[in-house]
Amino acid sequence: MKNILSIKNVSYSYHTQEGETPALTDISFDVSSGSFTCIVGPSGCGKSTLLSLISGLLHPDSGEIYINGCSSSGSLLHIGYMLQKDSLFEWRSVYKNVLLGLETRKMLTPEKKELADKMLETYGLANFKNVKPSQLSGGMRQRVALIRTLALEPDILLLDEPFSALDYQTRLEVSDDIYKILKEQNKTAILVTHDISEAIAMGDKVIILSARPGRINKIIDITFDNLTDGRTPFKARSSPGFSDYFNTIWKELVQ
Amino acid sequence: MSAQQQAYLKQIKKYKLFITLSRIFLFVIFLFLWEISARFGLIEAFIFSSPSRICICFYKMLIDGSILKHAAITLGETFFSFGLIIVFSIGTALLLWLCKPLSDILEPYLVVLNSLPKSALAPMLIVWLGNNAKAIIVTAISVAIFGTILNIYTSFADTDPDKIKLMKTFGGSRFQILTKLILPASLNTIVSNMKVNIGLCLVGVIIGEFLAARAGLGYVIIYNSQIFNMDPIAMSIIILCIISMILFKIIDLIQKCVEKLY
Repeated sequence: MKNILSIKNVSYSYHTQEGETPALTDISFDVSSGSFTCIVGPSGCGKSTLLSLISGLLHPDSGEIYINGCSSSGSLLHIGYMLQKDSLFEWRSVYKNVLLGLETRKMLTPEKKELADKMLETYGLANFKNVKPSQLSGGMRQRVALIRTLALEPDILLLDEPFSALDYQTRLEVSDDIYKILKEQNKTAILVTHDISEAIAMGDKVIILSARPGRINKIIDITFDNLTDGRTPFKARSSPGFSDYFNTIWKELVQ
Repeated sequence: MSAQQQAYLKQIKKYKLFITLSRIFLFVIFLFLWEISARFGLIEAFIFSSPSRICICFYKMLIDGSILKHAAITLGETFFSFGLIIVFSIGTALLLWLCKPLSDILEPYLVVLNSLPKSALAPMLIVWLGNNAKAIIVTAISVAIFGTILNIYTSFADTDPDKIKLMKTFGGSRFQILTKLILPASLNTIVSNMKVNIGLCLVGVIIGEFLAARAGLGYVIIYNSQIFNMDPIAMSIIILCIISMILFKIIDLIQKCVEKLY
């Protein structure tokens, strides 16, 4: 399959008055179109920094990032970024929140609005269109945040621990929901998480980063023979291969 | 509705009634004791005035129209300076937010000016600006403006960094971040700040009128204190109480409307 994203020898350091902290060293990997890549690693290993670099919010000290074969500067247009917190604007209705990205990018056309309407409908939020986010549950809020991101029709979705603020049960539900949504729309996604089982459940590929400064320890392809079609995170969790993957990744992380 | 729920609601209602009645009782007993002790010579009515003397004084000044004029002037000056404070402080806070070096440079000056007792500035302002309403309004502005700028700027600067990051992932410009995020997110702070400000404005106006005015409630107070005429002073203070209460209520109402947006 075609590579939508290529990262070549990327390094990045943070600068403070106390000194220089290398966050990432020599990171290289490819992401193929329509795949789901998970990045795991100990906290502080630069996982989120990697997403910021891909999105173009930060620029690498060295190395190159190519999206669809083009250098990443100005890549924001191709990218949807979902953060840990849903960051819904409390003073806007759900619908207005969904349109925020389109509004900011000045892409608010009738067709896009229709798309947003349709997504709210599909994902069970049509009745909540005009309420304020404070009236929604955590899982619903996260779904609104996803629709807000998807409304931009990004080529690549960056997910920065988007489930970690949710309680365990909601987390399983929402990750199932979101996985389905992304697969239906055939989106390429990169998920950053510290939850190994979440990474195995959702990823086609798991990239394991070492402790700071983050470098790639290992890249593991995840396949479940019994789930050739209709794979969901939930089914993956109860598959026979699951615990083997878990042990492998665990060993890589603790060594 | 269950019997327990009804009992609960009844209890709450009862409590609220008790509070309201107690408030009224406290006010009435205060007036009553004041009047009685003035009548029976426990306190000197000439110095401490009394509710009945205040009423008579109010009636007289109402007939000749002077009290309305004075109250209107004080109120007008308060509103005018209040409006200017809102415009200036939001404007300055925006400027500081847009230009970080400027806010870093000005910060210590703002902090010093904010903690300076502004009444100390008033005599100088009057020398500079003359014995007129201009000096009074500038005094009133000086009382509230520095604290307001600092508060609003802090609220701008404290905006959730994740939300700013989100706007950046949308490719939002600084102006868009300002109008779509910073300003609406700070609206609550701005309004609750106005609540404090309207009182401070009144303080500033009265200080200014003490020193510079030929009219206004502050002038009534200072003029009559010099001729030992206590009734108009006590009356002016009561009118000031009423004015500040009404102003506070107006802002409170605005705040309730703003809260509905959230």
